[in-house]
Amino acid sequence: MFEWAIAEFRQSYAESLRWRLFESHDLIDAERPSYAELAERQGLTVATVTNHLAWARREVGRLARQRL
Amino acid sequence: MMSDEVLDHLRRVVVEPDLDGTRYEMRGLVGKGGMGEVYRVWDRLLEREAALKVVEDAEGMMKEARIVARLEHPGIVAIYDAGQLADGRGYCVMRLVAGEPLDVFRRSDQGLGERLEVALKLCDAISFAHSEGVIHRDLKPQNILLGKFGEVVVLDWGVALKAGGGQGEVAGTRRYMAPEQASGAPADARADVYALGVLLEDLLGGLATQPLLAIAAKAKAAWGERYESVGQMATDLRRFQNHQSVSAYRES
Repeated sequence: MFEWAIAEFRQSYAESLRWRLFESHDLIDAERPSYAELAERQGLTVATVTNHLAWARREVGRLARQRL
Repeated sequence: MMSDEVLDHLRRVVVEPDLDGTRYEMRGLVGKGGMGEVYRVWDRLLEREAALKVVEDAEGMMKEARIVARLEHPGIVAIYDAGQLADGRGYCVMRLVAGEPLDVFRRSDQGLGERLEVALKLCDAISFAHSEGVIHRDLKPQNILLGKFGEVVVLDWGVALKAGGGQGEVAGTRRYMAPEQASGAPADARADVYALGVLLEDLLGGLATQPLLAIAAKAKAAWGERYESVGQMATDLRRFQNHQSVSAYRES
């Protein structure tokens, strides 16, 4: 379910900051960076990171529920 | 192929609310409703469990939290905290009431006296809310819990309204919804009286006598024929309890 939703999300938003943040935070198979670390690394504010991540998670959740 | 660790994380952040940056730890889902989900959480600061409700509409959640925060009454769920999660959703933290839903109680073998007590406590809580200018608009068994100390607690004020607001907005659950509310007309305190009438019937089941059925019928009557206030309905219930005549029923 998640793999399908993520593939769909990636297809639509592969070039976007949202995908980049989602991939760098939620899909990472190692120690996950904090929001602050991620913000610093990308040159963004923490609020921008959390807002984009929240949007990406909601979209993945919506796609996953659609699949169900 | 995603690892189990990534899948667990996705389950947590996509399905469950992201509690990063709050003082709460996820303990599990309590229930899901049309308006959002309620989770059991651990409050790290106060070292106790609480109920955390999450909804998509952060602004609506704050409105609900502010309404409930004003209603300090033993029959109305106590609110501890409210805010916005990192994922953008709104949350409020409430007392985790240990007890059983009204639905379970009404199917139990409790007698008429105990059932009337529950109905009266419910009327007290709603009457208090009305005195503060708040109408619940979604009273139903799932939103009422019976606590372990015998308290009756009204939950889920998500569609509650300050008296005079919400024209044309249809919110609530059909079976317990007054006809004027279902038609989109402005709901006043009598919309809750109607729901209490249905709940009274539910509570009493086969134990209802003629005067009690008459009280429920008057609570469910057309707007102009209905009890004007929950207090009037409660008075009739108390009079019945004290073996006195009730305004809704005249013996022929």
